[in-house]
Amino acid sequence: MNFVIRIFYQLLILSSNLFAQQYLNEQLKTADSLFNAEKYFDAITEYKRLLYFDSTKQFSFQANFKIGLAYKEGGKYSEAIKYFGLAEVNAINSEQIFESKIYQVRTNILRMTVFRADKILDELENDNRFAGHLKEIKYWKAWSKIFADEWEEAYHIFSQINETKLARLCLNTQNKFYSVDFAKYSSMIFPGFGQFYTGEYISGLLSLGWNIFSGYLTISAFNAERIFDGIVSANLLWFRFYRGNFQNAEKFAREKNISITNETLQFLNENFNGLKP
Amino acid sequence: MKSFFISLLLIISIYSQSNPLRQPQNIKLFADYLFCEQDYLRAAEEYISLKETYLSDTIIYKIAKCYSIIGEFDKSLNYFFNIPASSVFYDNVKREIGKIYFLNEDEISLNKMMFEKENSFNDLLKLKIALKLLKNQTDDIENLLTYDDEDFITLRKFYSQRKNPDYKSETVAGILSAIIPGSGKIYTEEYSDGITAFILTGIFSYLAYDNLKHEHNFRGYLFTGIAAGFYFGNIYGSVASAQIFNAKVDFSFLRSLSEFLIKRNYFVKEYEFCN
Repeated sequence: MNFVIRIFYQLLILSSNLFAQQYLNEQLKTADSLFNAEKYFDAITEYKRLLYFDSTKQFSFQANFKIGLAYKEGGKYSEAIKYFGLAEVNAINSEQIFESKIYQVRTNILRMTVFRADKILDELENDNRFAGHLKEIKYWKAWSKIFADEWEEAYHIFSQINETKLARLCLNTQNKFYSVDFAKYSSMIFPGFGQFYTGEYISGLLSLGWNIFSGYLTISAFNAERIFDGIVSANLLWFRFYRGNFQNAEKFAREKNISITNETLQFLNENFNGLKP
Repeated sequence: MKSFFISLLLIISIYSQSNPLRQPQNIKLFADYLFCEQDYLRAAEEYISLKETYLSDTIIYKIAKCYSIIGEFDKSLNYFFNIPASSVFYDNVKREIGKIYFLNEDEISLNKMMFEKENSFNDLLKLKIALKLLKNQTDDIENLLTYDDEDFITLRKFYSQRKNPDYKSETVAGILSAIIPGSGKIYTEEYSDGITAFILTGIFSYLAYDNLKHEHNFRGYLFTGIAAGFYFGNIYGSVASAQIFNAKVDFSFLRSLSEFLIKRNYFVKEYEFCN
């Protein structure tokens, strides 16, 4: 009889463990269903509950990873990176490590901390375990370059991995850019030219007019042998307009380039159907 | 045989019980964990999901505290008001409510909850004085500064700063710049601007005078216009500079007051719930 009771107690303990396992699985299902319904706040709560009660840490990777995804979807990038990092720590194979690291990269790109994304990508590239994922690594490297405003570099990387559509888009964007140096130096040689180059015609005309006027005043003062007048006019009028002219041209070129970048990013956001950060 | 039936009953009871993760004691444990992880909104929601029988003063205090920390003051007040006067938290609850009224700049409500016999009176009085300093209502503060502890000494210093601020007169700045260009700026401690204005107005005035004297009329009028621009611009700039100076004095005062209050945690005691 004692033997039967002992067996029975062992069965009891076993079954209670099975129930615990069952409840944790149910908890994961609940959290997943909230996540799939895009109820990210509640999903995070349920994943956190799962993590708290999962004493064997068997769900640590999934739960942390999903919390990271939920925070990412909610735009809480720093929190997301923290949880992708925790997922990486709790990963049980190299695939899981890769996945969590790639999501850290993607979130860093969105957070505009591209230097951090590049660092992780370099680590992945140099790690033999991920040699089979080289194309994916390069893909995200190119996206990182896009967000770093290095479109030409992005074009080269996309070309290497045969992402022709994205490569062409990067090249087109690069070709649309105004040369900041050309705008600046051309305005130094011919006041107003940089403004014309960037399509700011009224500003260019005004700049040219002010420079002609203040230049005339300065030169006429020197011609009349009024040296002090000439020096003051040159320093306080002409040089100010001259300096303002090329600084203005430089500013226009930079602003136009920012709007070109934004247009392309908006296009990618709305019309590109492939993988995005 | 008896043991067998007991075990059988146990199994059935385990089978039939609800999800253990949703049992009140586990919800509370999880909420405590979230509270200590500083995930306050989730912690509050978990505590609230407990049945009313489980809502002790400590839990209600924690819910209110969570909402207070995340700036949901109305919800926080609702829970703080549910803590009875008999609770060990009561004195601190009054301080917490006082803090919320202070942050909402609600002097009337703050006054209504102050009772001299209560332990929290002294701390609420400090908040009241701070609020008056914040709103620049210095008239009756002196009568309130009746105690002599360290906080009152600091508040007294703030009071004297607020009462006699180190302002610069806008009129004096304007007049000074009208008499000697740039001197208004120097008065408002913008030394480099003042010297530059003086030199530029001087140079352009001289050039205007000299050109007109030698009948170079176009340049004369041009330099006259520029000199006049600098002269009047400098008067306007000096008045603006005095306004900016005074705004800086106010800003610096409010920042110091705020730093003092944050350092003193608005005179609220913090409990060690997470140790």
